Amino acid sequence: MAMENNLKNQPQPDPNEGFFKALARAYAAAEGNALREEQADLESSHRLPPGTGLDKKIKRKQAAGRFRSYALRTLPLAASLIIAVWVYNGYVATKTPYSSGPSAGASSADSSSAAADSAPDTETELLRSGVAFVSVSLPAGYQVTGIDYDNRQAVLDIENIENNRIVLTLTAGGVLENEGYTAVSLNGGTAYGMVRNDYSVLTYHKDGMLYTLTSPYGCEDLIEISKNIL
Amino acid sequence: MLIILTFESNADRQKFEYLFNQYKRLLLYKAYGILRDCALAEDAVSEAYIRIYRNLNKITDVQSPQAVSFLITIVKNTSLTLLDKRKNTDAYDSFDHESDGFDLEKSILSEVITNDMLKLVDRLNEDIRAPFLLKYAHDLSHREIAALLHITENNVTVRIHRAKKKLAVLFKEAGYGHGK
Repeated sequence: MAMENNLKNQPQPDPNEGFFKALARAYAAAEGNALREEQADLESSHRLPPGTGLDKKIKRKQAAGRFRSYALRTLPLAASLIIAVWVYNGYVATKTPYSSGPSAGASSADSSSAAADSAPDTETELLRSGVAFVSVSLPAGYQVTGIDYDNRQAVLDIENIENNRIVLTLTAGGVLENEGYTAVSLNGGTAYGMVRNDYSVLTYHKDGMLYTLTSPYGCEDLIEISKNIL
Repeated sequence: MLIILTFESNADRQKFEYLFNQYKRLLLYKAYGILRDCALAEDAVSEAYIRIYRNLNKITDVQSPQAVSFLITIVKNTSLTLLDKRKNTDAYDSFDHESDGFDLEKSILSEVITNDMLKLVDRLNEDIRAPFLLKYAHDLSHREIAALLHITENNVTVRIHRAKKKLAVLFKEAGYGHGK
């Protein structure tokens, strides 16, 4: 009796499963064929929408995916290169006169001179740290395509997935000039922006560095990049 | 949230690109038919292709009519979701456990599936037809259907049950099982 009750309480297999499968598959096949005929008819009568807006949405996601895959593959190499550059610069710095600390018994003038000469070194380190920080902080869809160092500045060429170019200039100890700019609140900090007919600028201070971004394509990219920096 | 599309293999990429390039305009046309708004139709189809991307392994032959049926099922779901005509999910959270008392297979086991029978499936509401087709035509599990349609697994179970029960009633009304 107990066993019979147990059997009754167990879920019974649906005897119609096979029929439902056959029915659903036949329906899907018929529906698919009807849709393809309808598509051919609509195409011949030019009644299908162009879908260009959809192209942009989906292909942008695909391009971001390609960039991400590339970035993930090259990230270990990029990290190794950055570390190698740091180590090399550290090695070179120990060999330049500027990096020597004041020796015992040196005059105060010599000490001041040595301190002043180490300033460019600090700024160089600051610039390189800033460049490394920007490189790893870029949002998906952006990549650094070139870096130039000049005196107290580092200039980064950045491109988005639509190949729009943005220039980011880092100036160690740079002075922020915001006359004529509009203050923009960004992640709790303040940036200053300006939009002209043929270019846009966004500039701000962070950790002793002046960041200035320019683009001929509007300020959306400048803000998107700066969200991860400021 | 930025959704990006990455593919494990070139074959997957080609499969997706074929489905996109071949059917995007048809799906837009169908979505517009429901939403009557170009921007919303684009959103619905865009969302549909994201779901298709996540279930690419469920489409074995991109050129088969079943693949088109799969796409249209998803687009109808995303369109109706945007249209906000989904029924309250509470209505599908429970169902009676009584047997429908009508054994379809015994009655029409010897009959082939006819166009008249397919028209009965057409009479199901999209809410219950979609999970029914996804399970029986495309072999998705309840969990996969829930993820695809953005409903709970329990909801999926209830809707499929309702579909089968409704089909049993429709078949009975159409005279199947009485020697038709």
